[in-house]
Amino acid sequence: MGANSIPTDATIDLDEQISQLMQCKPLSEQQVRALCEKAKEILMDESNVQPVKSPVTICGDIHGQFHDLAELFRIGGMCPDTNYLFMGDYVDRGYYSVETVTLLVALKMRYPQRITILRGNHESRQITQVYGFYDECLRKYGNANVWKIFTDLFDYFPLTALVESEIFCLHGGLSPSIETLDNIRNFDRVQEVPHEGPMCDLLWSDPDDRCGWGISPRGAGYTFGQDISEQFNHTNNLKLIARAHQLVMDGYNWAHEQKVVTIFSAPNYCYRCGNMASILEVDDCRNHTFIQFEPAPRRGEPDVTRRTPDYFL
Amino acid sequence: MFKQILGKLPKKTSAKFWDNGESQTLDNNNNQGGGDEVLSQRTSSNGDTSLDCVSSFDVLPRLRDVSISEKQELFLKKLRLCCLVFDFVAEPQQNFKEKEIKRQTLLEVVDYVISSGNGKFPESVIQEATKMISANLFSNPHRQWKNKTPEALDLEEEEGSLNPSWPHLQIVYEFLLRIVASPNTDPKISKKYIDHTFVLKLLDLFDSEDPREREYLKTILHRIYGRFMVHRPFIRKTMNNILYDFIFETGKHSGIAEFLEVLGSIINGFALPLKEEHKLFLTRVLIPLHKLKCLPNYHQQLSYCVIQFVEKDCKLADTVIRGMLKYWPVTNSAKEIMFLNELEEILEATQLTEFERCMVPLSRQIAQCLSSSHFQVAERALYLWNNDHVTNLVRQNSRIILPIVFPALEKNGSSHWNQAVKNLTENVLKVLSDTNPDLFEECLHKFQEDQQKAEDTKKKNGETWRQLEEIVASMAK
Repeated sequence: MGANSIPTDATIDLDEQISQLMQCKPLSEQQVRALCEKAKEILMDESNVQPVKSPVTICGDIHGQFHDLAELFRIGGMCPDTNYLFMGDYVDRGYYSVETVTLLVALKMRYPQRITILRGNHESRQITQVYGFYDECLRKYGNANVWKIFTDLFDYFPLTALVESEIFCLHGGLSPSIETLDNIRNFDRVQEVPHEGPMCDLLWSDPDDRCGWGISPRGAGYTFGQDISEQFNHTNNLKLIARAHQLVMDGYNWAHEQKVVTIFSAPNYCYRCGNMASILEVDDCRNHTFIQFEPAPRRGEPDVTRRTPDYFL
Repeated sequence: MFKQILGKLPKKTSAKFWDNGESQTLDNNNNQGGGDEVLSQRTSSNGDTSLDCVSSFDVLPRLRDVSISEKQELFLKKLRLCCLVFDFVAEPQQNFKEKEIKRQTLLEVVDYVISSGNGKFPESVIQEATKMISANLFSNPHRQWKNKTPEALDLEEEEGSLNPSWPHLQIVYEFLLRIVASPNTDPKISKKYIDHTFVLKLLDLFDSEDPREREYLKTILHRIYGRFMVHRPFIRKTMNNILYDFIFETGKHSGIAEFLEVLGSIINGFALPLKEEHKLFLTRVLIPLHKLKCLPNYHQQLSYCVIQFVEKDCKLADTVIRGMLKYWPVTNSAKEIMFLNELEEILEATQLTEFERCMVPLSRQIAQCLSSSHFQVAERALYLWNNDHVTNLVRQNSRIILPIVFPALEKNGSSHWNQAVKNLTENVLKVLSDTNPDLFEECLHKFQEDQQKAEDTKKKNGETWRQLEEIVASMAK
């Protein structure tokens, strides 16, 4: 089912749902259930290291900031005119986690070859109960069914992607228990994100200025130094590791002498941090272009940009 | 708006009357900096301008440098000086010197109150003191130092913004605290000045976003309530009204936690049997306070107040529990956990009679929490079984309670996503089956029967739908 295939009943339904979602209107519980059932079938066939072709636009955390996701599509081009790779954290914190994650899953259904959605550390049952997605589902649907449907689906999201065999994309970072991409390909990802181990590390780790492995202040995953990144890229013939997971004020941030880049796509994070967002365009010739953007103008959401607490950084 | 008055002042006056003998260079600085714009004048509560009295004298020596006989008169003069209020908001960078002198003077008058020996303060001292306090606290420009954004208050990590006038305000609050706490202050005399209007305005200040300010207000109100018996009913009534406003109209107030902390110790002192007025306060104010969105800001203090009531009069327990069930949060898991915490504390103080009056609706709610998909809610509800008093109440009524909570526990054990919840559930089930094996078997049997029935019904419905579809399909042909 490519972008140019003849429309069928199913795709017409999907197109309607997508245009409803683009207006920030959530689907019904039944629609979400049907959508996620089909999504499961597509996602379970994807690899733990999902191969992706260029051109593609790589995006970081969204965190329920629906209007900023809409702005991202206005700036980067709508799917399927532009191919996308999202690196997780679609839910929690923002006010529109439901609409955001439903839209991305609907786009994945409609254009499975044109958009890749990876799993972030917030695509987990435990984290969503503490940071907002669970309560948002209760508010919008009156019960936890939609939360359950989505968190069950999150178990199937691929953990990492590989763009043209040279850009390794994932939400968090490297793991001391993983040396090669084949290590990743080999484990069973269909489960709640564990509290420790390689699968946890991929979604929780952060690059650091210090060499070697370090204890992460987050309480999960590790910090890894430039030596680790260089070794990993060398072993696996990679040019770059692209990851998200950390707020960076310019929307993107190079580390480890351009071996690692952090991309963050939620501008004015939590409606208060005052940061820029960015996306990374990789064209047919594998050239990199960062596009920065600011929050979309909006109504009905607070704008409390005042100070940025240290713990967001 | 007071520029005209200020403009008429001789330039040197404003410098000199602040001069307490320490800063000889003040004149020069002042003239360069435009000394006539120095003081943002305020009308004190009585309506007379403090500048009038102030301009009539100049150099003030330090209090410790004058003889005892002159001290009081000088003290009064210094109080009058301190009626002048500086603008820290519009002009934060100006009048450093004058601000510093006022600060020193305030410290001096505080010291005077602390170190004054025996003997009551005469009426004139109390009068001038309250005038100075009113001028600084009630009618000054720094009250609106910040525009409140209502949305901002909803965000979790709000730590409150700080009042820029604090360098002076803090000492004024300290002064007020010392005055109301001093053994030399005679409530009979001072109630004329620390009157209803004064108390009312003081209570209004609790809606400050500066936590330091609210902390002082709390301590001061506590003292006033303690020493001014005559004001007690008025203070309670006024706090009631502010809380009603908050509950029924605005939903926004920064000082609820501080009010409740003061109320906590007031409730602690209630005599038994409790007056009807106080019981009404519990049902009309304290229980409805549970329903507000910003409950996390004051839940700890609220919970303390409620438990005080139940501990004083255990007959109130089922009123409280039913009240909480009425406001039980449906879409806010963090609040739900707070409710469970408070509920356990109330149950600790609940006797069998009152427990039996509310146990059926209570067990239904607990059952819902036990099988909540939210792991923290389910965990918290399961922890109730760690409480000896609670398990005892349950055990004595297991015939009624077990059938209500059993299905929730059984479902958890087989299908909850969270391993910790599963393990805790296993433990609780084991306790239940150990204490009452026959009843447990009965419940298990009933549960399996119900499950089977539900499945049969589902199958039957499915079959009916299939037949219907077949009929429709055959008709379409």
